[in-house]
Amino acid sequence: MTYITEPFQYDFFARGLIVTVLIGALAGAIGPFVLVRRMAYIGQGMSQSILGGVALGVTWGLDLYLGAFAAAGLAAGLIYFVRSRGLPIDTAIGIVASALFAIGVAVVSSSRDRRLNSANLLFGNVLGVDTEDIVLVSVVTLAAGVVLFTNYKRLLAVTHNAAVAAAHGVGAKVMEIVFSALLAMVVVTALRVLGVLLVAATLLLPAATATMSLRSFGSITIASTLLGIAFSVIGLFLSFHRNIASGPAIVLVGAVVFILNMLMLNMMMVSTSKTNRVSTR
Amino acid sequence: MIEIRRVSHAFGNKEVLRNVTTWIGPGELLGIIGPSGAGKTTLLRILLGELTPTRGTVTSTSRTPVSIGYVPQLDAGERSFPLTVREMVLLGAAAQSKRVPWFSQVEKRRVSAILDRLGILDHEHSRLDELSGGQFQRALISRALMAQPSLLILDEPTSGIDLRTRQHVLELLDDLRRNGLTVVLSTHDLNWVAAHLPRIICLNRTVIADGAPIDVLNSHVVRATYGADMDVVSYNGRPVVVDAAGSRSAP
Repeated sequence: MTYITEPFQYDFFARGLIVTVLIGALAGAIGPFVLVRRMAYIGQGMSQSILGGVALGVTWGLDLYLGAFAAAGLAAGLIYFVRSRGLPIDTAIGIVASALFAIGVAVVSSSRDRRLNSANLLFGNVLGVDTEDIVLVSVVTLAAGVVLFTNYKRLLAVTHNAAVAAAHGVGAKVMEIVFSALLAMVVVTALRVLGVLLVAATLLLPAATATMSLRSFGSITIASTLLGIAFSVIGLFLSFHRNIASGPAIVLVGAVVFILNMLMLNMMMVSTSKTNRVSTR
Repeated sequence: MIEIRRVSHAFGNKEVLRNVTTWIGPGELLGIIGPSGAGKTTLLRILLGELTPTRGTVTSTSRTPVSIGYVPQLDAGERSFPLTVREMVLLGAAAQSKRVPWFSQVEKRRVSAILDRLGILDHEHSRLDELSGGQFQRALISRALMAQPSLLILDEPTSGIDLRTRQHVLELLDDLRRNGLTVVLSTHDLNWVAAHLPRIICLNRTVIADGAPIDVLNSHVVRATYGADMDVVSYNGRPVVVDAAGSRSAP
């Protein structure tokens, strides 16, 4: 019991838990869309890209999140521009993300500003969460939740087949912008707790675990949201008790559950095929 | 219903359609035939509003707006998506549906009725990758019907399905036409459309021939459309296209 109650003696833990749960829910809800769009790499690329914006923003005396949002927008624009020159999407993401990440690392490594702690920015640190973070993450999560709630069917139709959705009257281009905005919201809000290197994993692990076990996209989205919350909460407790950074702790919990789920499904498949073989003899 | 006047389209310097003039009447079952690269899909994309023609006009002559149901070519990517048949078909109504993540009881009942009519209600909870080619084709048609279209456009609906399923798809399309739906499909399957469709447009960048298969299909038209030396013979009053060398060597 003390394992659960002890962390709440510290204010930072409760603050971190609120932010982590919100981010886990948002990343979990959007994750299935990222997964089926095969856009894991763009999530990773966008999160790496924001390091440059954060570093420059803080150095120039701006808000950390403002720099992150600006960098996410810049990264999306640059990726689109490089891609429009005829290069494949993975090449475009690789070039833009690496360049903006390199700017970030260069600025962070030469800066003496305490807010630009490289370990915290790369892997997250729940200790850094303040009331301002809670307000911002709550507002962004609420906004993203409303956008996702009201556009869920249209977004799913465009994700499945954009040409068909457009022919049937769905604004496919608007939905693409909506999706990019949702992705940017997750990446930026997750910065404090997860760090820029581990955001993509929190988009993918709950979604991949749910997709392996469930049949309909609706149930996958609900399960992925719940798993996102569960991984975040368990990960945060693990982070506190084992004294490891919050980002890696959350991702490790997700990875362990994913592997266990995969092994369990594999065992069930083997057992079913054995039963079938026996019954056909 | 729709008038297509002097439509041309080019991708960069490559002209894909040249001076295409034709029409689509209400309640028609129309086949657009031609070889790969003839401009069939481009013409369909213009009808869908996805492309704006470089020259010419496409105008609706209907009093009410033309709503479109679209059935794309069978695509492996679409089938590997984690959706059940019911979920995918419901997405056909996404544009008209309320802005909540779930569908109304009316929409759900309409899906059941459509799936039942198309004979795949038993598979409503199946994942898309568990369906046969024919069942998936029916699911795609069901999704298009959920959009409550007045014009149904199908891109190569006979590709990748067996002969028996082709027959079923045709019967279904004919049934839909008799219920007032206008159906336009593209195919390179010449004998299938010659045997079953009331009107065809032979396309090879421009309209080579337009009319009932029995009236327009002859060896000159087939050669101009496909660039192949083929004969057209009559079997039970229907035109059948055969390899010219094969037909001459027959006793």
